[in-house]
Amino acid sequence: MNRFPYLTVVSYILLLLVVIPPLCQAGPRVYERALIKQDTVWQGDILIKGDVEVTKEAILTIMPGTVIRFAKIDQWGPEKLYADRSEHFPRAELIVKGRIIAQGTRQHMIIFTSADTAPGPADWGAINMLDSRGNLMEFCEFSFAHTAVHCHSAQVLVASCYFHDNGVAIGMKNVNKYKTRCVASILYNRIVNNGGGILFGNGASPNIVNNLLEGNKIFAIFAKKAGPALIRYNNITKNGKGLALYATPMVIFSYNNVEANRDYNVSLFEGQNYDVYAPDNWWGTRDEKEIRKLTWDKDEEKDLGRLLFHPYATAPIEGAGIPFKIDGLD
Amino acid sequence: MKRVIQGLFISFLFIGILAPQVSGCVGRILTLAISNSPDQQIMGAILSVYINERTGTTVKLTHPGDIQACHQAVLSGQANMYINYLKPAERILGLKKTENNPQRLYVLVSQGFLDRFKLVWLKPLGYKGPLTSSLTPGKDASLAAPVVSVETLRKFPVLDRLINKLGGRIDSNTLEGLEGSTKGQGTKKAARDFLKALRLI
Repeated sequence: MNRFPYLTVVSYILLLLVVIPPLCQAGPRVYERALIKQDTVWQGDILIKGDVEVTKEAILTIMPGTVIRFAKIDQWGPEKLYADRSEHFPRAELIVKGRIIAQGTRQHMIIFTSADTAPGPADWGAINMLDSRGNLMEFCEFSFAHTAVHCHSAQVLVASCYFHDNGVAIGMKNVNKYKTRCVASILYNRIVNNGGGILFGNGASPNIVNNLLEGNKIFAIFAKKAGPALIRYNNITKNGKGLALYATPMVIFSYNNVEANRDYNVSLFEGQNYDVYAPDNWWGTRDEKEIRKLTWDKDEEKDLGRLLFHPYATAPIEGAGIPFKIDGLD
Repeated sequence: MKRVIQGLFISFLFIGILAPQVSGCVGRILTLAISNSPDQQIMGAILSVYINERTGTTVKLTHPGDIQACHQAVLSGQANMYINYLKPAERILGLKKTENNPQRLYVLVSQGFLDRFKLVWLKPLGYKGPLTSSLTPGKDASLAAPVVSVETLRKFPVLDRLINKLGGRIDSNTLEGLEGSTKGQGTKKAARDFLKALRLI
């Protein structure tokens, strides 16, 4: 009999130990202008109020369902870690010099977005990978960034992610001071309604396969002095320009559905003197004259290269675009 | 003219909002300084649409003041390019003997600007200016041409080749027509339609 109240008290204490800690963590974990110097795991709600850097020796792992919000800090204000404008963005960034593993699931995507009550593009800077390898972004949603996923001489796999309302969804280039060469695999992503879709330059060499690029205001894909790039099995539609190229010697652009882009399906910019290898795409029509109407190449400017689009598909490419449904996005 | 200014204001606002969104690290921004004369406002819209469409470079328009202020903005590195006229340029150089032959004056001015300021004169656009608010050339009108710093041409190596394609294609009548078009559809669309009609974009 005497032991009963004792067990009850112990039970209450154990219950409180279980219940209280989660209650204490109800608010987001807040980072203000910080360095992450050791391996770290993020889960739950994270609020970033300044530049956060994952240093060379550290790995940041982000768990499924984590929501990372970036406060809209003053441009180049005191919350910034760096003032170098060639490599950084005006507002808060997650700078990765070590590694980032952000692997959500179809049901529990990882969300990177603005903390502002009236969010807009460029509220925050980027997931900014600098001279970094072994990075992974899978089942993540990115919105209201300047350039959501950004690489300077870094290597990353970006798969099954959803990009919307960013200035640019993905941007990358090589920088001479770093040894790492910029290589990226960009697969199964939905890249819609951004200013620009995928921008790569200065020798960067991505594989862009099985993505949906739709409604991006300026361009879907823009290659600028880029390295060899493989662009296949994408749906590229209703963008400003579908594919834009400047001084890029080698692109393989095949088996894509490319149609109804406002200012040309393919535009060779001034300085794109190389031909572009682009057979077996579906251009939304079987009429060659109609295909040419939405192409800007040597036919329009004698100094430009030529879009080599023969033979072209006579029906939409099966299996192009995202081959499976990502929950919550349709 | 008020409609032109309003239309341009909206265009500048659009470019101003969009510029930070799309410049990124791979994309670049080129700053064009323009004065308040009607021809400069229209040429600002044409050049910004043209350069953006054919190079992917975002063009930001800035309004430092008169032509002299635009010249200073480029010299100080605050802008990359502006539009000048042969006669004001002759005065900037302080040439002792007045040259009335436009071709010879162009050679003198372009050489003088390169030597003294490291600025490159591109091909004259075709019209004489600056224009007054009634779209007539001022009493001291002379050929207009874009002027770019050598440093800018190093950063944007196809810019001169591109802009020179506009050379001689915009005369006073064309400007007058463009001013009329802006009333109906806004400056940016008028500029875009004009460039499309010339098959330049």
